[in-house]
Amino acid sequence: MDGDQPGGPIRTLAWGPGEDSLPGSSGDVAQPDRDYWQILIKSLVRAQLGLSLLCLAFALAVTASFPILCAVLPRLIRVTVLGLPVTLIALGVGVFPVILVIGAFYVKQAARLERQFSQLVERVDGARSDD
Amino acid sequence: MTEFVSIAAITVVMFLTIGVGARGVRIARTPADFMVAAREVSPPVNAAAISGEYLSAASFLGIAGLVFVQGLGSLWYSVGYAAGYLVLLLLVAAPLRRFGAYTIPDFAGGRLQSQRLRQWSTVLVLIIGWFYLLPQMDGAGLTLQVVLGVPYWIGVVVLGVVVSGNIAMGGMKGITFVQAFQYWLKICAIGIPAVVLLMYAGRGSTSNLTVNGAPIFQHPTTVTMTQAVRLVVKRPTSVIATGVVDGHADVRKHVLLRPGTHTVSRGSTLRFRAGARVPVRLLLLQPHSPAWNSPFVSVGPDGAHPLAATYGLIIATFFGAIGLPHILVRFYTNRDGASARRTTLIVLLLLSVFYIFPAILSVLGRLRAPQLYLTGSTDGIVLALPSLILPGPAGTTLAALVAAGAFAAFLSTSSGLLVSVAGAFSHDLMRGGVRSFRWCALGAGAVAVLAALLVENFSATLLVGWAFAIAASSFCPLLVLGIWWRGLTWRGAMAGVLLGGGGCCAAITATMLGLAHSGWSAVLLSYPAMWTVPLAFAVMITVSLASRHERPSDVDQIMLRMHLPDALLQRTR
Repeated sequence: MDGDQPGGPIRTLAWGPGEDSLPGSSGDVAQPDRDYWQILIKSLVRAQLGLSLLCLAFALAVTASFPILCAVLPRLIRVTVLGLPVTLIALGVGVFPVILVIGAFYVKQAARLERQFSQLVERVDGARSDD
Repeated sequence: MTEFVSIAAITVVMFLTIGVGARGVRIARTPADFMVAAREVSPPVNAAAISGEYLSAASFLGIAGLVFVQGLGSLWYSVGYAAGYLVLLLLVAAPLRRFGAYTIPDFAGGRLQSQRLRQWSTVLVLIIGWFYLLPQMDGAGLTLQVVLGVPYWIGVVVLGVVVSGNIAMGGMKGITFVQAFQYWLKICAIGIPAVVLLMYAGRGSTSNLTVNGAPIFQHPTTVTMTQAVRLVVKRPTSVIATGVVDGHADVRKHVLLRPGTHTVSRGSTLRFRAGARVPVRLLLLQPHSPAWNSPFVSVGPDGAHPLAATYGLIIATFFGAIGLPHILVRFYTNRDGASARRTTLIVLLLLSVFYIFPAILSVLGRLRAPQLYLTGSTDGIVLALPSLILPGPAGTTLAALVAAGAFAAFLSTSSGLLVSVAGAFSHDLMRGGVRSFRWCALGAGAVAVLAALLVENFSATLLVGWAFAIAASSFCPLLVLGIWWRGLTWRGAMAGVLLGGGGCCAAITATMLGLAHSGWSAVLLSYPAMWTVPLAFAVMITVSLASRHERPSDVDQIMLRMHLPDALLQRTR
């Protein structure tokens, strides 16, 4: 019950430090084992961050480039399609499919990275327990 | 008749809200229930709840009004509000859920083991919460004023009583279902009028969209003043006036309005011929705004540096959603990291659909109801539009639907904000527990009502934009660096949050006090995110590197917990 009580420093977290026996964190694990987990998790974090930054850079390049494009080519502002200004088409409708596609791509790729990582862990685990 | 339909619609929304919320009372028992609905909400419901909570007065009324008045560049608000969720999805959604914090102060305290950082984060939550809460209250007052003609304070008080009472009774459990319901209500309330009006009045000339400055009356138009108005006329315009113009009583008389400012009394009518330039109400006048169809936002009386101002707005909205205090708590109601990602993607879809409609309404307003430039107020344009374009009972019904949706917007956003503000108060500044949470909800509601009664006539979108700027320059770097960089220390986080968030608050205060009117100072103070966000990141990284011996001892364990795939995480338990 105490764990559910809100208030206090980290009592409102779903978990407390030391509550889980995460691999590589408990004292009875040998040093090489800890290093191996740290390297694994570092590689995963780096891969995930790379994916996120790639998607972010692409999203910014596609959406946020529009004002600078219009500043460089002022004639672009006066372009109309079926009587509708290009700004309206770009900002009113056009950007939304773009960010949706980027989001969907990211969710799929992030899940794929995690699957690959899980398979790697299981393979390495299996090989080590065979030793 | 009009009032009756609108009253009925708003009353139905409120009773549905209370009813759905009251169902939660029986289920909500423990403090955890109250705070986060006990983690049992499926991604589609959760996504609708997040969107329902997110779409505030600024989205429902503010954007369309701002686009109508200032031009298409203000569409960056809707683009940014949606893109903010893409940034949130890419950078924080899954790790933050796996970390398992209820609130941003919880994250700060748990990730960096610092009580002081936690308390300062709480202070910032309160500041951002108030900035966001005020325009909701303000909007409620305005809506009832426009559609029912009652005094401003009635709407404010009604909203305050319903929201704080509802939260004190049901907590988050009730609110989650209320929020999900209110997304669907809001999308109907803006989507149906937009589509109907588009079908009714969509065909015809679109020349007003590309005209610089004020548009032109397409048909002979009679405008009735619902209040005394000061107009600015740029070119000599002849009208048939009934009533009092510039102090002269006229009855069906041809009057030539010379360039300059004119006063027209309440109840007067002006009849313009087709092809006349629409005079602009002094209140809505944009002295030096760029062309209406340009993609830039303008600032200050001289409209200097529109490109820089636009990027200031883009940075604030793209990176602000991450740091909003009432959004993080919603991610905790996902089952695991993967479902947090799925939820965010659905949110992105729901928001993208919604944000098409304010654009349609503002364009229809400029094309078919340009007389709103004479009589409207920025946030009131969406409310006034249906009956102007579509006379008769159909227009009345649509207007009532819009009013109900607007009220749903104020209800849902202010509920979420009040839960965050009251939660922050009761967790971090008081003893905590259900009873304290209840009293904090009532107290915070009362304070918000009083504050909203003191400040009238703010543009909702501007205030909300500033809340985003503060969040982007304080909590965004804290969360992003805390999740992806092992090297963050509490000292670095604290320095970044205080300098970034504090600098942003100072700039906004200076803007509100009117300290800078022109050139770069106006741009940098009105759109501070362009310098405060990089500043916060830089300070956090530099100070963390300088104090690297203070890295928390359990940082490896925390990184593992935030980034390990859900299946593996369960196995390690």
